[in-house]
Amino acid sequence: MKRNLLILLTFISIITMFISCNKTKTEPEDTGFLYGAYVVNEGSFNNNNGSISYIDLDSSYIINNIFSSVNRRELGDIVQSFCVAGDKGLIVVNHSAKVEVVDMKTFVSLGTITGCDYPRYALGAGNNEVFLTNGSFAGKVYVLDLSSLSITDSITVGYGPETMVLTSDNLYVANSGGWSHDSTVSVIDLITRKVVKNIITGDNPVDMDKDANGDIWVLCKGNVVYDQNWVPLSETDSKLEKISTNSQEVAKSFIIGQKGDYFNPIRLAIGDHGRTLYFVEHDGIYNMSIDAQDVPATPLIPGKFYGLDIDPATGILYALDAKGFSSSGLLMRYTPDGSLMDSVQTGIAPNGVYFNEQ
Amino acid sequence: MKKAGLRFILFLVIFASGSFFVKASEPDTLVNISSVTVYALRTQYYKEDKRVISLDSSLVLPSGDETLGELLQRMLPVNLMQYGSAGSLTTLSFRGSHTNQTQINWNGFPINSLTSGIADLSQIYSGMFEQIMLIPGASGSLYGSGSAGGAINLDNKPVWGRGMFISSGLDGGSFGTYGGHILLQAGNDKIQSRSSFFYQDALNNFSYKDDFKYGSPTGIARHNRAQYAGFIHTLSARFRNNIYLQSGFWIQKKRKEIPSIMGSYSANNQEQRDSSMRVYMVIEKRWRQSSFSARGAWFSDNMRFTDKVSPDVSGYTIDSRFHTSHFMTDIYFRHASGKHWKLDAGIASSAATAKVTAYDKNIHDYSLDLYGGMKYRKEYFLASLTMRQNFNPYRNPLPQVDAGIRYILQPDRLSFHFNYATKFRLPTLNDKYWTPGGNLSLQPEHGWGITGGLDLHSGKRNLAAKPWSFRWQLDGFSNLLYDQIQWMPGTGYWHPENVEKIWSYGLENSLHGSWRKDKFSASLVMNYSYTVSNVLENQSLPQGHYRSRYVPPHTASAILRIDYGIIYTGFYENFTGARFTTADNNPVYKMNSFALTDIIFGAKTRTRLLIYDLRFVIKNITDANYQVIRSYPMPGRAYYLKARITFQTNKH
Repeated sequence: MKRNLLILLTFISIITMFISCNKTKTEPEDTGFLYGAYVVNEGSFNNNNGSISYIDLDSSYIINNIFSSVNRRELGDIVQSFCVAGDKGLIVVNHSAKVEVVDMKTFVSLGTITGCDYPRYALGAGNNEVFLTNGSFAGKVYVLDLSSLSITDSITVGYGPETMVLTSDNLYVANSGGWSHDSTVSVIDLITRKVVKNIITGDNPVDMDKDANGDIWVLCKGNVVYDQNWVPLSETDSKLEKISTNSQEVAKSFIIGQKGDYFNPIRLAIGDHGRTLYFVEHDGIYNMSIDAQDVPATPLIPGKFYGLDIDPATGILYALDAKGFSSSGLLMRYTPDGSLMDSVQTGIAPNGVYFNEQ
Repeated sequence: MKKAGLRFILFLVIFASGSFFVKASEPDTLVNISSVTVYALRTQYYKEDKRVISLDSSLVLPSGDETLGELLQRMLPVNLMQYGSAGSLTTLSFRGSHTNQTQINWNGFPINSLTSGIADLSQIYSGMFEQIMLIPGASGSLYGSGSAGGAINLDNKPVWGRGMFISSGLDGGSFGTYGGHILLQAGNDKIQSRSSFFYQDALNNFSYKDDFKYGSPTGIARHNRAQYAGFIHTLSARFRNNIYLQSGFWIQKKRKEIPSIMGSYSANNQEQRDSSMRVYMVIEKRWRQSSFSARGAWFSDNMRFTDKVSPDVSGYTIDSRFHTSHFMTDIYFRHASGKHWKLDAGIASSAATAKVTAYDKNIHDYSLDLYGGMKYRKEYFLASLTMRQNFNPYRNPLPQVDAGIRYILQPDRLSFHFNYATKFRLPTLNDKYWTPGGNLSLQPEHGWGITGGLDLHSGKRNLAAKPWSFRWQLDGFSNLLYDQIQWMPGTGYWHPENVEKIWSYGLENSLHGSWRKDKFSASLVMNYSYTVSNVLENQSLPQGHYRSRYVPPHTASAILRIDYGIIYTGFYENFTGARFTTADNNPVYKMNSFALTDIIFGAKTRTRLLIYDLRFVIKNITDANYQVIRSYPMPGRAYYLKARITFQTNKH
């Protein structure tokens, strides 16, 4: 009897060991939605149908509406941007005036940060903190605490703050003017949390990227001048400018687009490991080296695009077409030299793609 | 969703057929008034081969203190687009068309906004008119531009005879609602004066479940107050030499705070103020075989839309103002040729001026219409043909045609009608002049439609002797509309283009029955509409057929009204089916069906000169949580108390 029991225990132990070893060796860590590309779909105005589409970069498989699929409720009205901070994702929903916080593995909602009235972009600052730009006129950068899901501090910047770039010492904030006009980039000291400088740029700086040399490129959309009846009278030049992070001054300035076309470029992306700039103009996507002396005369990719971002790992361009803003948009992927790779339907009115890669 | 669906299925099973309730149409459109015969409007003169829905006053009451939007939602299976609770923008679409293809006329003159093309039903109080008629699929030949979907006619008609009628009502109820109205009518066989004044104020601070927020909390609608005041006066006179005169004056103001949509954590400080002044005058002269009329109207509309950063600041971030002025004339001649033929012709003009902040200059816009027609009637057969040509400084629409027949299969019981009509809609002022984006090269929207149906009723003879009556109507329709104008994103700004082709078809089915014995009477009305509206072409969509947004395939309504002595009760059920909200019919954003139930209890008693009417109304008695337009919350169960006292003498 004892012998039989010993044989049985030995057999069970061997089997258990085998199963355990097998599990450890073959099952990778389940990262869920933590890594990949995230398409930000604004949705149509006043319809609460903004969404996030998830792209698995290994398989290129896309899942639309991941937030509502997981959480059984819609995300909100005009999803403006998305960012990842640690193991949490922040979805900035502009017209709903909130930031939805999700667990990046599961995309389960962890809560909503409110208290902002016109949130635009978020950027992780480490230590469970996130910067959030807010304001259609006089603007602020809010400091969000991801533990309490609340706003803990605010820093007054220019009008209509939009995108931000983080360097080792400073946070650069593009003051786009919002519904008014501005022509500055605010520089915030990360320790004192105060604006230490306002760099004068072209009119209404809206998008920024850091290049391979650590300098910052700013896309200034230009300013449309209206008469007292809000009829556009004229517009100023759209510009692409380089801010030297050493001197904190504009070191280069290019006029882009055509004055009078009333197209205000708002999308800038950087590829080739920070050496090539891409921006969207009225007739397509243009590219130029960060060392170029002139702006190219013709687009690399002709067409109408609403959004543009670049996978930093591969340099593949993710160009977005919002169609009529009332139906599914289109994501088109291009090689860095402008050849179309593939395309896929997204949510409504896609405006950008966020990459979070291992 | 399930409950609403079950109620709808039950509704269909019990009542295999439903229908719009329709007042028995007059055998002809002549309105006889003792010594002088006055011809009705041309649109009524040619209505017999078409589907016409005339709101029956016995069922409309007690609802004179409701807006046209509220009234229609409660009584008919129509497709209302309601952007929130009472006082919010409310528009109507017929037969799968756009809301700016519904023309609303006051005594024959369109009151649609010249800038947007739509008419806001929340600014129209149903008690201000003696007759309300809906004409689905109205023709371009009879109505001119903007009636491709249909038309609603709001008419003030004198009731001749010596006497006086004064009615005064007060009402109050849930969500800070109160209002009142006064109707005053006086005159004799020669002259009649009628005035009506309405006032309504509602905070609309109802609660709702906000499924767009984390945890689906209960939200309260704030910054949602609606205030309305309106006054209409009409004066009618008839003379011995067969001359008839009528003039009308309508002034109104509305202020509406615009609340945040569902899911929003931010307060909304937007506000819209509308005001209108409308004047018209008609003169008619009749001879033995002919008649002549000259009509003119001047409408002035103002709208101001504002937004603020916060309620405390004095300055506005948006202060958009619209002012339009519209002058219309119509000269019309009709002649009876022999026993069977009638011919008519006319010329109509329209001159508009607009001062709008978004236009780069003051706008002056003109158009001219020439029209004519003929009607043949012999025994049980009637045929009509009308034509119209619009001329305007930009692109003229195609010539318009309306042709139809009506045949009485069984006298006084069963008839058949069929109509073919072309339609058009000229681009609105916004489409043409908005800066930037306005497009002067737009084609007028155009298309055609056919409709045909049967009309069966219990007979009009010995009506007083019969304790019961019924009427059943069944109509089918098919419309094809081309070059629908839509604002599209362009390089830098949005602009209108002719992009869409829509084909819609369906069935409209109605049943109306009533039974009366001694002190007891009961009326039952059931309506069901099936509408398929397909977008065949739209350049912003991948190739394929899509259903039009916000057009439910199924809509239905039922009304049961019971009177016993001085007591009455009414039961109102309205069903709106599921509908798509995105152009590409994404099922994720499809809206659920909903059913609404209202109940009225009342008592009405009278003395020799006075009538007292007190009623208690419960709206949305099942407390249904629903949205008509996605993200715009609607109120749950609400209670109202309404009292009315009427003084009347002699013939009134």
